[in-house]
Parts: sequence; C-alpha cells; structure tokens
Amino acid sequence: MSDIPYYVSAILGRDRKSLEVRTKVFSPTNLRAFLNDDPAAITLGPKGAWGLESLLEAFGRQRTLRGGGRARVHRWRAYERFRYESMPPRVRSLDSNALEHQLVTMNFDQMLEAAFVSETVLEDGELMSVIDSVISDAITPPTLQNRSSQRKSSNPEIDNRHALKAARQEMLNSVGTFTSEEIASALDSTSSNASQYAADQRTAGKIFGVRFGREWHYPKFQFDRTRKPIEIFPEVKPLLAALSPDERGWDRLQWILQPHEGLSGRTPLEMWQKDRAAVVTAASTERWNGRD
Amino acid sequence: MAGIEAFHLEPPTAEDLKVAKRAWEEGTSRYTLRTDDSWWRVLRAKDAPQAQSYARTLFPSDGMNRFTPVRKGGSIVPAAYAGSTDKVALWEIVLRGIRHNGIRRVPEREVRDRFLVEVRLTQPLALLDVRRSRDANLVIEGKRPPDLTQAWPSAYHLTRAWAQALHDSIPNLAGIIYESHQVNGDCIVLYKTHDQDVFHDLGTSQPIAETPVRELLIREALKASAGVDFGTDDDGDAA
Repeated sequence: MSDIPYYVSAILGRDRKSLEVRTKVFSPTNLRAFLNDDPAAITLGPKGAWGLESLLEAFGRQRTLRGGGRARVHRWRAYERFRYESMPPRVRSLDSNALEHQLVTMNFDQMLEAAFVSETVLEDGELMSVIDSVISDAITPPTLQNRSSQRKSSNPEIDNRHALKAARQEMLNSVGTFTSEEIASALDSTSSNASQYAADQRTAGKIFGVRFGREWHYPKFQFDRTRKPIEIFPEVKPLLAALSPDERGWDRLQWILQPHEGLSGRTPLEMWQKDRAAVVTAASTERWNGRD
Repeated sequence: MAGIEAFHLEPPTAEDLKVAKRAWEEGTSRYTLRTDDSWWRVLRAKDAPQAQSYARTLFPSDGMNRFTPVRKGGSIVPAAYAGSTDKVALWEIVLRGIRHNGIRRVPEREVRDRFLVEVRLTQPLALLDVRRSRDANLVIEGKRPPDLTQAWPSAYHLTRAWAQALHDSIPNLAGIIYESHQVNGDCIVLYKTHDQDVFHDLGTSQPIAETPVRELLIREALKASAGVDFGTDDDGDAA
C-alpha cells in the first residue's frame, strides 16, 4: 500500500432521520465491520475527495431506504475511477463477496476512488438516476466537471448539445490526438497542404479521424511512434472497414474506448498495443447497423 | 483506463437445470403474459411501415445479446426483446451503454433508423420468470441464484449459456421475463415456438430520432448526464 492515507466511509440508516456517515482509515477489518452494518453506500478514497454530503442528501430525500438485509443476496452498484484517468467513473455490478475480495486485495498505489451503493436501495429507478449523477459529479475529474456542470437550460435540445460536447471532449482527452499538421509532419509527407494530406489519407480509409467542430483530430494509438518517421499500424485499415459507416468518427472512437465482450471486457484501446489482431477480430463481429 | 472485471456468474450445472425444469413443470417459475398488456419494442428499419412489420415477428439475429442467440438444431432460434414501458425499451436497447461503459454519449448508430413500436401479444404466452425472487427456481437449494438480469455485457456469454441451457431443457420455452437493470420495469425475450405472428402492432411506429420520442430519449439520457448523438452537424460541435 502506498503512503497515501485511504479512508472508507459508510452511509448507514434506514430512513432520512437515522442516516449517518461513519468514516475510518481503510483496513480490511474496518471494511468488514461496515459491511456487517448493512450500509446503503460505501465510499473509498483520500479524505475530502468525496461528495458524501451530496450522496447523503440524495438518500435523505427518500422517506425510507429499502433495507438490504443480510438474509438476501446483496449486490452493489460500483462506481470506480483511477485518479490518473481523465474519464468519468466506470459503473458495474458486483456481489458482496466480490466487493470485499476486490477491496481487500486492491493495490492502492493505483489511486482508486470508488463508491459502492446497495442495489437494493437503488431498486427505485429514479433514485438510481439521481445517485448516478451525484456520484459522477463527485468522482469525475475537476477538469471535466467544469464542462459537465455547464448551465442547464429549460430546453432539452440545448442541454443535449452541451452534454454531447462535454462527452466528446472527454473522449478526445482520453485517447490523445494529433492535428492535421502534426500528421503530415510526422508521416514525412511532402505535401504542402497538411489538411489535404490528412484528409486524403482519411478518405482513403487509411487513418482514423474524428471531426470536432471544424477540426479533424487523429487518435494517437493508430500510429507506431517507435518508427522514424512514424507509421500507421496496418491493422488500422481493416479496423476502420469493420466499423463503417461513421462519417465523423465518433462512434468508432466510442467503440475503441468502451469495454468489449470479445476482449474479455477490456477496451480495444487497452488491448491495442498487446494484440491488435484481437481488436480487429472483435470489430469484425460488430453488427454495426444490423437488424434488431 | 481501468479494466472491467468479468461479472461473477457461474454457468448452470446439470443439477440446476433439473431443478429449473421441475419448477417449470410445477408452474412455480411460470408467468403468463396476457394479450391486453402493451409492450414496447425498438427496432431498426428503413421506415415506419417496415418497423411495424418487423414488430409483429421474431427474427434470428446473430447479435450477441443477453439471452440471444440461442440455437436449435444448429440454427438460430428467431427471437424478440420488448420492454414493459417505452422508457424500459429505450433504456435497454438505445441507452444501456451509458451505464455500462461510463461514456456519456449515446452513439449515432444506436439512434439512426430506429423506431419505437407499441405491441400486444396475439395469444397468451407462458414465460420463464427469472425476476427476483423467482430466480431461486433456477438452482439447487442453498445455492445463490444466478444474477442473469444484472450481468453486464462482458458476462453475456454466461447469460447466453444459461438461456441456451434453459431453452434446451424446457420443451417449447416461449421466452423469459426479467427485470430491467436500467430503470423500473420488466423486459421479455421471446423465442419462436410457432409460425403465427407473435405480436399485433398498435400502429404507433415512431422514429426515435424525431419528436416525440426524441425528446423522451434526450430527457432520459440527461438524467445520466449523457448526450444523444443524432448525427446532425450542430450536435455538440458548435464551439
């Protein structure tokens, strides 16, 4: 474990009057003690990193919290983000045994921030949406929070545009990109028009571009930067062919960034350096516009 | 980025399947769908009439989903998914990725050429009920029921293994009813057991990219702080 102190907090109580937060230095013993108290939620992270008050407020709006109870199978909705990531938290579901196993065996050098909310409590779907928002806001990197907390309007179309813009910026940040000029220079192009050179490569299906506003951005993972000049990995072309059509590149980029069943739940981006053929195979199984 | 762990879900054992079959035969795991209940389907089609036509039938899709494809005699069994409300159908088919993968964007391909259709069954159907707590009927006594409805896409190979085993074990299984993991409500998957149309459509085929479904879709996505990409030039591109 690193020198950074980690704390585990639990929200306990059956109704809004009895809700309370308890915090202890993280240890397997303290974690198990909290789990035995049948909490509505558990959070984990450096002290002060967490929006416990917001979470408490969200729970407090409920007249009663549906008790989890140890007599029934208990599942948790897990929100996790490693502090070096520029993405919003990953959400998944796991049971109490898996939760305890993961937290007790976790290597905290990885700088995890996480929240675990009882799914019994979340059986109210509306509360689930509220909790999703509260936790996302609390755990999302500050640089992204600024974008996601843009002024809300009464017009859903405008709010949708803002949300979409923020999501796109997060996606670009998480993948890392080159500009057209950087592409032309790095690929040792003799063309005097960098934009046109990159556009030609893109139109020919040789490189992957994403259009944001008026600019095209080119994700870095597709280039072998160990070469001088850098080269495009040969797997890029079949990858793009499999993930077509996508005129502006956003669906392809999202596919690259999200977990894939064919890659044992890992993202294509995570697998790219280790096994590009597996990523192309996973892409070829996609039914990009198949019938439901 | 952090990897996502495989969902903890065991494949069925022969003993589990005997228990499941017995519960079915005794009627404790059966749920009968009535013909006067409305269900909602989201379907990809070139236009509204085609969507209505598709909505009445089952289709042997090779898409890798929670409980399909299942196979019989080497062929994919035609199947259909539906939700108990329009919100359930939209969350389960179009918006599900928001909560699964942490990216707050609904892809354009999830929205393009898709229609929301309200349907009703042409005849009552008995489905296998795997909602809590009826899922206890799927395993031997004392064993934890499989969380088939909570599994994430990374574990769909296991939920499909359950569906295949149950379809093999229970003769003429017409489908499964399960709870939505996304919002309040139920989902069904139907498997083909006869040649007639399974659903009536109620003449309400609506493109999801157009009002009024568009607004509902946006409002639901915004609850999870996500934006829907409709593929138009001003979607989030404006500086």
